[in-house]
Amino acid sequence: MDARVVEELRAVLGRDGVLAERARRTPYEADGLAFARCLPELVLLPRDTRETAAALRVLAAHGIPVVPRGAGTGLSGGATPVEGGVVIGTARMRRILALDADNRLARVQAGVVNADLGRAAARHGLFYAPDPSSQKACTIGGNVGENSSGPHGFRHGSTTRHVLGLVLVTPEGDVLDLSRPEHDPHGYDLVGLFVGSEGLLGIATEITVALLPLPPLVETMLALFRDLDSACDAVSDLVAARLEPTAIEVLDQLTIEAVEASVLAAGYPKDAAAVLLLESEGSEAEVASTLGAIEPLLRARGAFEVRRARDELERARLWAGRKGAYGAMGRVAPDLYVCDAVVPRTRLAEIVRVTIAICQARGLRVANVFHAGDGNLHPNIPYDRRDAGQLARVLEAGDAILDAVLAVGGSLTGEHGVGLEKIGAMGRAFSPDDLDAQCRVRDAWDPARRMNPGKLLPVHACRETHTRDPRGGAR
Amino acid sequence: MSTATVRAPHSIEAAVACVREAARDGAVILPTGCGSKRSWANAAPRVDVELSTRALTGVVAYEPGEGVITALAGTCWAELQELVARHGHHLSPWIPDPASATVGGVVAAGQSGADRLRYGPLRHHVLGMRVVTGAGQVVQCGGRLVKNVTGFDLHRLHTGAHGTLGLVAEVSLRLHAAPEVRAAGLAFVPTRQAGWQLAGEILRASRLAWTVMVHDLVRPGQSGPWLVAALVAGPAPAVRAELAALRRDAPQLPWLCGAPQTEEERRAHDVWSGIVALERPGATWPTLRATTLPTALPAACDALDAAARAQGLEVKLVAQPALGVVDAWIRGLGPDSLASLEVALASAGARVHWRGLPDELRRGQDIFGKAEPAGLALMRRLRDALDPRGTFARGRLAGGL
Ligand SMILES: Cc1cc2nc3c(=O)[nH]c(=O)nc-3n(C[C@H](O)[C@H](O)[C@H](O)COP(=O)(O)OP(=O)(O)OC[C@H]3O[C@@H](n4cnc5c(N)ncnc54)[C@H](O)[C@@H]3O)c2cc1C
Repeated sequence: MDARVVEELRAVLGRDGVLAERARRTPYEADGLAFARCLPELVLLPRDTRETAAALRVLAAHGIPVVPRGAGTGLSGGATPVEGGVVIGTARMRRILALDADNRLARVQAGVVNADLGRAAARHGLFYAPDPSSQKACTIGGNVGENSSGPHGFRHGSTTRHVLGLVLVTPEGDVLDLSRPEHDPHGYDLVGLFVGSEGLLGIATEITVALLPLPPLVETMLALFRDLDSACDAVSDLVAARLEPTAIEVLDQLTIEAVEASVLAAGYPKDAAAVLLLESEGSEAEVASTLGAIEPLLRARGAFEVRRARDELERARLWAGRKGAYGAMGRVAPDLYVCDAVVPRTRLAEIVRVTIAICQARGLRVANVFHAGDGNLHPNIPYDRRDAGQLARVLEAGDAILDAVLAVGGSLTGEHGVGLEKIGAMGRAFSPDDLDAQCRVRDAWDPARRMNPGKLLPVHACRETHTRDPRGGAR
Repeated sequence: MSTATVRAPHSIEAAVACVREAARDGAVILPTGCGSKRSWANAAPRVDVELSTRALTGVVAYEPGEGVITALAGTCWAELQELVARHGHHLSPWIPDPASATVGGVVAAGQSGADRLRYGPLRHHVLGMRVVTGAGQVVQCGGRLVKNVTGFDLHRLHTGAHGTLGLVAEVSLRLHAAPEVRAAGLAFVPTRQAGWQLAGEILRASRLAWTVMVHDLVRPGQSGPWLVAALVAGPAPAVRAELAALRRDAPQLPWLCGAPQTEEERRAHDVWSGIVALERPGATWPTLRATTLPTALPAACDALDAAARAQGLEVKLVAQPALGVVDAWIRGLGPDSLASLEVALASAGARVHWRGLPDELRRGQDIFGKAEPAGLALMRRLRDALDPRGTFARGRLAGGL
């Protein structure tokens, strides 16, 4: 990186805000998509909106590509650095700026960790609903970037439902204050479009989110099955019966073994081929009626045991086990490829079977732990990235799974994003006209295509006629 | 406007042909459904072709076990409601005029319903759509699944855009479980302050409320009474338990919640129908919808009252305290009074949206108020990117979009 640019950036961010030494840049080489790596030219760590804007102006003036980054837990390579580019991280933007319990909202800096917001809200009898399994590390900014979700998304929806406003910095370094919570947007819904835009439209620096009142009662239920198919069919039945628990998760045997062998051992029974983890919240009567209606459906699909967590401690352990499942897979292999796709909820068992067959045919193991109630599959393939042949088979399996999912009207991703990982599949999910519309939107925000280039949108899909940057910055 | 040709294509392909033809001729298109929400947007300066979706009807996909429905834009909202109700589903938004609303119109107008407190705004239910662009392309935005983050959420741009970015041709919506039981609570209170207080008590005790309204029944020269109305719905045991809690925490509110086929149930249903009708703008008088943070709502209502009184206008307020929304039904409006009400509300920190203004008042007005929306320049760039030739009528949204 040109020394003068570094000096300009230091002038706006201070010494601590610019990481230039190789050793300090290395940790930013990759995100959760471990096999994709690229050393960033610089890592910038602004402390607020003003510094972020100043840094982006410098970078715009020099035409330098930018990759926004939260905690780097993303699984699709959204935060993987790009050739010749810098990373702007939000690690020094960790302040909760306001928590307005009366209006049930909070304003936070983008680098606030999801679980920290949850803790702060709980002190006011409130909670922040999106709960990715990575919530102890991932940031609200990253959640906005990916439109993340979690087990409780079944009832509460993904991040987009809970974002009321944003302050964002455009690729040119202009500040756009969309933080006022709008009942209905006047004009176009820019906030709605920004959520899930994977760092292509700018950097969110402050986020206004909705908080919900903590429910009076939460109960967690476990149902054990002798095979994965029956567990999946039971989920389809619950959805068809229009029952509304807050979470419906499936864990298969390999996942359970890994969890139970780890420090997170939660008491999941090792003799079950699949476990359904369900939760219901509300008044005592609401919870009792929901779980009461669920149980016979589970039994009818062959659940051989249905039980409820005895107390808060057991509940917490079951969830810690579920949310720690990816980490626990570390015992099975050094790396884990976490596939993410959505299928119609009427076809869960069928497609889960297909994904397993796809992996088996390539000599790969697969562990399924997923947000079944939303049809959001996560076939997780343990592998060792030092084994190039194996990695190739893993990627091939991932691709075949996406084809199978698309064939039944499913989608490429339910929560992890397209990023680098699935950019090649976008042309299979969308027509050239669909992609052209998305390109037009990107070019309206970022004519130079400098934000997170090479992610989400395949460049060849962008028709050039209407996308030339007046300053000639198009890549 | 009166000289515009009306086209009503029977298929998306035919709609594409209409758009291409208009684009070729440099004609300007105004997409319409039943036309019931025309007054929710500004009057377009120029319209050559009214592209009506009234013949673009039908359910494209509905598998009850999936909980998603996809329909062509001209499909009548009431028809969809009835269809999904037969399978135990509730279609949100719950709107006052379902028989004269189309799916495309509801979505393009961004119409939320009287069930918003429980299910959230319309934009939370729109999973995806197919849109005909100004260039005559059919673009798929989002999908038909309850969870999906593939690509940009372009459907969020089209929701509430009043067709300024393209013709919404097909929509997929998320469905909810139909409630087993509906209960209604109604009470008169002597002051608005007492209304806020009772509403607060209901909201604190309720998790199942669809609506909590404070409704102004004031006649000129009289003060009060005020009506507090609450609707609660859900599974039978949960509703019963909640009513028990409400009777304890808000004892002055009597509830109607009868067993099926009883007189009490019929009366509860009548109240429900009456309440949803309060959301109907412009049925008799034009409506000013003002929105702000819930805690700022009482002050906004006071400011609105005072300004209306100063103008000698007759006003009725229907406030939804948990949402920070008040609809003011106003009689006797003129251009000057429009402006002064807006100023009063703006100084109380509220946003305005006029609905149901007669054409002569709507023309030359920005019914979204004078304040420019934040990000207007970017919105213009987005519009120009998606409809570069201005095939779809402009100037209908805030800031001249
Ligand atoms: C063990 C594990 C479990 C997980 N479980 C879940 C789960 O249950 N549900 C789920 O949805 N995801 C899950 N994930 C994926 C990941 O945690 C989420 O995508 C998370 O939201 C990423 O947050 P982050 O702060 O790490 O963002 P990063 O990974 O740093 O960035 C994610 C994307 O957002 C962009 N971005 C980051 N910050 C900003 C900003 N301020 N403005 C604009 N763009 C920005 C980046 O450019 C990138 O494209 C899991 C990951 C791991 C490792």
